[in-house]
Amino acid sequence: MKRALLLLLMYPLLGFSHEPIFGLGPGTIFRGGVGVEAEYVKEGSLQAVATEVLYGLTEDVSLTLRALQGFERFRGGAFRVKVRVWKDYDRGKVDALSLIGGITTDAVSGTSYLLGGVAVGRESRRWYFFADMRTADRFYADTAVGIRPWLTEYLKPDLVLLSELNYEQKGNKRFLFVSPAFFFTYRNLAVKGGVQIPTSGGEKERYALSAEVHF
Amino acid sequence: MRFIIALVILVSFAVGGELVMRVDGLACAFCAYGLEKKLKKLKGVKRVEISLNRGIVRLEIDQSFGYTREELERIVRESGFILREVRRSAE
Repeated sequence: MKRALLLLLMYPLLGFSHEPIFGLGPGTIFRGGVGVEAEYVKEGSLQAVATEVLYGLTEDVSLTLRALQGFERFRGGAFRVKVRVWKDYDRGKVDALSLIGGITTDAVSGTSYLLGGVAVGRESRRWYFFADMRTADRFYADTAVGIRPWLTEYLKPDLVLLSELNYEQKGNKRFLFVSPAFFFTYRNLAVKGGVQIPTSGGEKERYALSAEVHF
Repeated sequence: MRFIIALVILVSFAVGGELVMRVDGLACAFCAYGLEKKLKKLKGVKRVEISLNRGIVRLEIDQSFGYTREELERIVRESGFILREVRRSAE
């Protein structure tokens, strides 16, 4: 129970739409921008709803406050900072590298963990590439590739399909997941979701579905 | 005097009309929303048109308002993009 709860708390959805669902990307919200996200997560019989508020301190620094409410009366929260330390622009493309830090708390045990990580990625009109490494209660390493099948214009619905590979290690236990995912946006509204499919026994599938709006 | 006039024309777009900006980093509509929002907050801006596939933003500004390139660069930068070029529409 406790382990699964921590897993849910560590779910790394950082409140920015065009990022991997289970991994991380380097994206930050615009200066003064506010994002609100409601997310449903499920692992085995455990279910929870997380609410995130994202704020763009600058165009390169985003703050995220996350509260999680489980269906079984557990609660948790997290505070995270993402700093984009490098970026390179071209027409319809941005490459970036960000550092992530923060703290997450398990309200059941009261245990707090420091979060730390790095994320790199390329966003372009057709393709997306992401990679990250993070530590919290365990070590995470993720890669993701995404494609936009239809290059729709601004003010049109926009769909991106993703395929992620998520690695986790805690002590001697190692897990690898293959994770198909999607994000669908229309202007400042986004819906995204995915499923983590374990490649070996012992772990259950994890599901995530969220809606997000930017103001 | 000519130099001053030329300088003013170079750094300012003070008579309104339509501007065409080449903006790099416009990868997705969700990200571009912040740029549209900030540009629409500018006084005198009547219309913002974003073309993701061309990397172009068109601004229609009231005749009584104008903005320098530096001001536009700052707004685009704070939106998470970079302004490469700005010119008056030929239309």
